[in-house]
Amino acid sequence: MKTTWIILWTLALGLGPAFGAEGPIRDLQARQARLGAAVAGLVGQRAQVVRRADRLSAQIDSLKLDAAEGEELQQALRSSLALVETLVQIDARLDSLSGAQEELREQLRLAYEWEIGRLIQTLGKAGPDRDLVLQLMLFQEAREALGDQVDQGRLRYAEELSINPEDGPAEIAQKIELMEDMAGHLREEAARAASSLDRLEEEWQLRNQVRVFTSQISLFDEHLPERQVVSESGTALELAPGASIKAAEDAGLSSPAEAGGRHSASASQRLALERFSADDLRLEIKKLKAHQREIRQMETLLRERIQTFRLRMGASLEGRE
Amino acid sequence: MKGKMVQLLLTGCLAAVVPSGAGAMQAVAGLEYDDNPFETYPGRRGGWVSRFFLDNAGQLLDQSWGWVQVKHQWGFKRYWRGEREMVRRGTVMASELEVEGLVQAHDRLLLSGSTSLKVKNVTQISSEQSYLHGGLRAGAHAALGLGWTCALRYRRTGDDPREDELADLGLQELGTDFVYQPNRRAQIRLGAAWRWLDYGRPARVQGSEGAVMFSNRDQRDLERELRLGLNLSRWMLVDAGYAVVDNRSNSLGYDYQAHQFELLLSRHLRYGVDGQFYVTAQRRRYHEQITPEGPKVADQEYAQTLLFAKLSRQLNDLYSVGAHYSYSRNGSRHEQGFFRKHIYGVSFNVSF
Repeated sequence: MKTTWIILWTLALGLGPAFGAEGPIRDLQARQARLGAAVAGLVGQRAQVVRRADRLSAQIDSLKLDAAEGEELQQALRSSLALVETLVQIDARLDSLSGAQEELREQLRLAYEWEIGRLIQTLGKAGPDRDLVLQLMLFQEAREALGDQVDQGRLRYAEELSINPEDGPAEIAQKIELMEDMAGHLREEAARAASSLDRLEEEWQLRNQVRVFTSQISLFDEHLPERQVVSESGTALELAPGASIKAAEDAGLSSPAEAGGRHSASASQRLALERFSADDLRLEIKKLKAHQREIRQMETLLRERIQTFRLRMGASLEGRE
Repeated sequence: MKGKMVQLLLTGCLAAVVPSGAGAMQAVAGLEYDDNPFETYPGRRGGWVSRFFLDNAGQLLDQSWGWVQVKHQWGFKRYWRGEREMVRRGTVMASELEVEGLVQAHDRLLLSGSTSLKVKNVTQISSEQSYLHGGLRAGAHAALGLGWTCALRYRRTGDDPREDELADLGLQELGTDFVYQPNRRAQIRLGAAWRWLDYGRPARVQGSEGAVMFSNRDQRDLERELRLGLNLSRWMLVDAGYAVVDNRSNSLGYDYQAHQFELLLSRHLRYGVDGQFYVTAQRRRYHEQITPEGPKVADQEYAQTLLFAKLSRQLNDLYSVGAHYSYSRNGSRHEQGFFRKHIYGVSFNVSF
């Protein structure tokens, strides 16, 4: 009876895998759609405000020509200021939504990677399954699309460094130098990420060792306080009532009925086992590895861009000659 | 006899459980010399003990919104000599299965739950007991911001000892923790817990003539605990904790106050060697003690000290070797009521 409820609870938890796996992606997509709608709404509002500001600007220009309409001009200027304020507010809101969208894309990328990994594992175990393969392809496509967007977003600063028709070799060289600086920073960031990853993996190993070390102690109850001492005669003598063995023997209170032993319910004496769980580190290591991949991609793109600029600079120099 | 058969069967079933999904398994085989394997006082007869330990963990569910994992540990200790002459050599076998789940209910709220089942089977050793132990734990963890989190937890456990004469103990615990974690590498904890223990055996009371007798009510204790802890993981893993426990019982002689200390250290040393060190100590002062003349104010303290130190070296991704030492002392603080033991051992670990 005592264990019935435990077994029921175990079964309840064991049913966990039956829940849908794509739930988080759908949730994130729904949030993304809501954010997209909010951004679209704000963009629409902004366009309206800009149109009104343009009309007001034309009106102010005409009023400035007419000296008799001083009061109306002041009113138009005040309205113009209010419109500018509204525009600033809308832009701030758009910036904030843009940040949220970026964060959501990051979460979606992680969710897709998670699902892709899971599907690959399932396929590896269960063998070929047409539906699963189709789902995997869909997820991979979605993940690739997200990856490109993020990289473009992150490389926006480098994209601005384009070659204009009026750029001469000196300007192109300056831009190359700037991009090499950026590549240098990326290399430093990659080195920092690698060092952090080494540290995390070392810590993960240590935590695992501690977990096994403490699990052994805990399993054999070696950490629990003893509630009895066995005397030479083989009698188990309980310490809990506070008497020494001698006193307990004298008092005739060493009956087995009172012996507590090394009892598993000495709950106050818990090990540091849980506090060194390595589960949180696993996620952190995964994130850091993903970050490393991103840095490598960005550096590759930057190198390619530098190469293109160099070719263009060479062509420009040849053209001059 | 029937109970022992059921226990052995359960032990076997638990040992056979291998969680599916991504996980890790580690096996440790060891040999140790224990100078007081049967924890006797005052004479000691040293002996060899071989031990085997298997640790297996796996994910049943692993999603961004939560996870469910299974942990299973199985261990076996065999003593190379009998506790007394003409007594068979003793064994200890233990198996514990834990299913643990966590759900991100809200951005700032985590709900967790776990259930565990442990079986321990002891033969021919009087200092340890066989039992079946079941537990359920539920908790809610809320992020309060600025690195603070608050947790509320509830735990219920039940012990069913194989020996009829031992207490059939039930425990309910309600606890709360406040954790300050400015970053992943540092954590300070402050917690309080209330435990209600039901021993399922008659409480001892003082009769009208001063004699100690058993009452018709069961022994029930209320244990209150205040705990302070620190966890650091920078150049080494450190976990330190101090707790003060106050126990009130309706059974004569069981009221006490205890101070507990716990320290765990782990770090990479030189030449690929890792070190682990664990020490725990507690001092317990009972309010009264029972004498032939009746109960009187206790003048003795109970003390426990345990120290484990282990050095291990990874040979490759799969294998590692280790050497360990442990010391323990248990019993009354003075006179003759305690035992000491020293253990020296070596082990071979395999990670699958």
